[in-house]
Amino acid sequence: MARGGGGGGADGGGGVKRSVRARAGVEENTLAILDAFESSDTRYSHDDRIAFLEAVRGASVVAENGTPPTNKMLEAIFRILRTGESLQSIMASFQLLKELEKRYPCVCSSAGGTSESSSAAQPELEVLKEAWSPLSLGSDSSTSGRAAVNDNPCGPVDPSGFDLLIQGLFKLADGTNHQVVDIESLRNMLLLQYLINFLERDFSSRSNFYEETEDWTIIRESLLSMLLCSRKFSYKNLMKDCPSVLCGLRQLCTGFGNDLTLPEFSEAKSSKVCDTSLVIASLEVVDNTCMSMQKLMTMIMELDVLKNQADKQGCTTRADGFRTPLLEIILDELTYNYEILSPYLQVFNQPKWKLELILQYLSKYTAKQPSVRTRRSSDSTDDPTFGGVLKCLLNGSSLRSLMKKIGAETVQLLLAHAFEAHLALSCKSHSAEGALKSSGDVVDHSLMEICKHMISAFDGLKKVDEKMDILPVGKEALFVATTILSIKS
Amino acid sequence: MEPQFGSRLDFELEDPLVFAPPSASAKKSKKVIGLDDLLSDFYKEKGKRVEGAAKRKRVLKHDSDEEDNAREATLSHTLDEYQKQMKEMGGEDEISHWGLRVFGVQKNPPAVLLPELGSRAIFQALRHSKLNSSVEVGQQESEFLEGLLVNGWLPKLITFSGHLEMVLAKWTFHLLMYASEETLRISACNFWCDVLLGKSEEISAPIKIDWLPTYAELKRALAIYGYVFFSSEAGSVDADSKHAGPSLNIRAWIKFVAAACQVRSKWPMFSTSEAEELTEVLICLFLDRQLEGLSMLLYECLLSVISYFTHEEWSTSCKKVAKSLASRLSMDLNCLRAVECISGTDERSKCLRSEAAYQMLVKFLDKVAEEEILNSLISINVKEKGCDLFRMYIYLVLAENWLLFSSSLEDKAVIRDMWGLYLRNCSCLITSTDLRSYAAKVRNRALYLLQGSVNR
Repeated sequence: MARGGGGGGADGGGGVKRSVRARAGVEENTLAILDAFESSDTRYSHDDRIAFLEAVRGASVVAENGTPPTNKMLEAIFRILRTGESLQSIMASFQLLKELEKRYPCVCSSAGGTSESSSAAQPELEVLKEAWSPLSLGSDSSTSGRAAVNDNPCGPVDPSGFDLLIQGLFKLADGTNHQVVDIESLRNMLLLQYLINFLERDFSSRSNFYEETEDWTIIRESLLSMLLCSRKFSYKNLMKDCPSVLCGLRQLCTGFGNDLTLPEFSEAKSSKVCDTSLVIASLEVVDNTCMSMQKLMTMIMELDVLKNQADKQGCTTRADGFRTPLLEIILDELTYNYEILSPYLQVFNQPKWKLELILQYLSKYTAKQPSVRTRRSSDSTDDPTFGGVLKCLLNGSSLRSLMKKIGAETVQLLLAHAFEAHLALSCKSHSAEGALKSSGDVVDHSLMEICKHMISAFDGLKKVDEKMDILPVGKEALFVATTILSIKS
Repeated sequence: MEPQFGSRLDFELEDPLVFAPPSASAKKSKKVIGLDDLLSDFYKEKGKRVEGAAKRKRVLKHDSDEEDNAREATLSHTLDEYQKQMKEMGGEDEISHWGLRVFGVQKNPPAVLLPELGSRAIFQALRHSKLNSSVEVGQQESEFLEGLLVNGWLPKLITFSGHLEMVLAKWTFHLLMYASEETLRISACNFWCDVLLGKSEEISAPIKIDWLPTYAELKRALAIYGYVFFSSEAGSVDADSKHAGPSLNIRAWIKFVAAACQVRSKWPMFSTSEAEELTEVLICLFLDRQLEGLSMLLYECLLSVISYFTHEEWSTSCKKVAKSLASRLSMDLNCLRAVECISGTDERSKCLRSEAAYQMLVKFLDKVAEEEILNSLISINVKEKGCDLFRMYIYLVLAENWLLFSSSLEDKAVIRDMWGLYLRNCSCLITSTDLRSYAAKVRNRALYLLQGSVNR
């Protein structure tokens, strides 16, 4: 700690110089806290880690004209997140990383042209090139890649590490002991959340920027796109697992969320405190991880849409590679793995993509001509809408053929969930009326009509198969449709 | 095992060491030097007692097989126990932990009041509709309602009808606070957050809510989770109890409070004094190690509670909260934790953080004026052998929070000079070879702060 003494004395030079010096000073000072006892005593080093985090927070987040943390400092925080043994240290480092990222984003658009009113005031995307990143995506590291994973378990995560994290979730959700999640899995889940958060921040500022400029390279260079293009893991295999991971995580939550007071938890008496804190932490972390995974999937699907656009405009090159759109992968997975269809629809709560998924699912079986959707020509003009699909189902024969193909229960399930997603979307547009008018999709059929058609579709189902039981979710949907009709009329 | 367990506790009752509050994560603290030596010494002394206890057991027990096992178990258990204590003792003089048991024994939640479908306008409409027969709600009303909630239909219905009826509001709130199923409590929580924070504010009129929970309601729920309202006996709670709080519903509780505090303009749910109490409760929740995993949630919740106050209210409320907090905490690491959990990212939390630290110093040092406080800090002779450096550490951190989060350092040169002097005292008068506990901590902290103040 005393090492920092030299830097303090006289300070001359301009403002920039001073801020650089201040940064260096802060770095030296804060890192010294870690050095002080790092090697000697585990317990001390825990305290020092906490003190270090608090110090960085004080210097960079709390201070009004705070200095951004240096890469070394970020590395140290990240190391604490990846190796922390206590709940306190991993939670604190996770929180600090998020706060820092919010305060000092790596990518930001310099508010389009407000600086100068010159004619070509193109907005600029500021990317801090040398900024620290928790992901190592550079292709240059590919040679030493495999070794690096093992050598440096606290450094940035590379694509295969990312893959491992999600596979870890898969195993966790699959595991038989639905009791308590251990510290290591908590750590990994927090890490994954942070990475997804990081990807998202990068991606969303880039896609905002893309909307203005339509410059595909911006998106191509996004971390997400680079990550997915990596050859270090099998994108398709990983994405295939995503639906099961989501369902598993939710299962995990409800599993140990229900029985804290059951005997199994009071068995380990001495570590009861620890257990309770782990259970409570797990609930929170697993829940948030589930949300993060949905965020990741949504992001990838949005990236797919952008890529499709760019494809059409001929902006993509071979360098962009080919990737099966995530929606198709999920669709396949849900078709073959029927058991998770219902839980997946329940968990996945991004209405836009949920609706899209169901519509595509249905269109696979209702499309008039067995459309071979060639990749380049898939035109968005006759993308199905929910209203359209419902109308189509009013026709008895097409409904019957659909039921024959996928079964009455599945039809109910899909319709009910699609209706739910549709309502969620119209709730949103309900508020920002007019703003969404242009997006067509939602507003083209009035809500009332949808409700009416929902009811008649179920009537139709009943007519085809009189013995058919209406699923609970179907009943709920019907009830809601009726109620909305009665409110509005 | 239970009976032996009990008898062990019997003899341990005589042992003053057992009364030391159990440290939360004792297993992590490892004393490097001499733990083994100390341990063996300790056993020599205590061995008699252990034997005595075993003998006593023999009197109680008759079956010899069982007796042996029992004895073995007791012995090994006792050994474990001592080992743990040794670690604690080893660490005790150097390291103590923060952590309060904020929750005691949980009470039984009140019974569910299931709303009757027929009583509600929405459902009455259904009665008249011809579809009633095909929906067949009649039989399992509760299941059906839960389905509506879990599958997310209810928030939509409320948005479209613009009206949340009393029965429904009460029922969902009850689930949020007391449901033992995770799905139900989370769905109910999402429902309330949707209704309160719903984005449908600009165009459509705000939703009409017939019933809103009061602060008393929230307080009652906390009490049922076992929350011990700041009473000092919190430590005496039997940690082994199956019903030790908090209930897992605490997460939903926190989320609800966070949401409720953001909608004061539409639905003011708390009075000023209630919001003050709420602020305090939240800071106390930070002190329970069982809730460590919720620190992010608590952190955001605390921010929204602080933002609940109006500008005029805040200046007095901030002081009140700080004072009452100071009066409730004793001088240990908990008071540091309490101060440091306040975010400090915005004006208000900075103010609260500074004020809380200040009030604690006022209480511990029994001085009020700023100069007086600093004076008495400076006058402590850290070189003196009997100087309690642990106290010093706490003072230092409190003073740091008090001064760095307020503007007095910039505004008053006297304070600035005194602070500098104090820091130099702590850093220069303690040598780096000082082996007293907390010597290094005080010194390093002071050095770090000194460095920061020079760079400024």
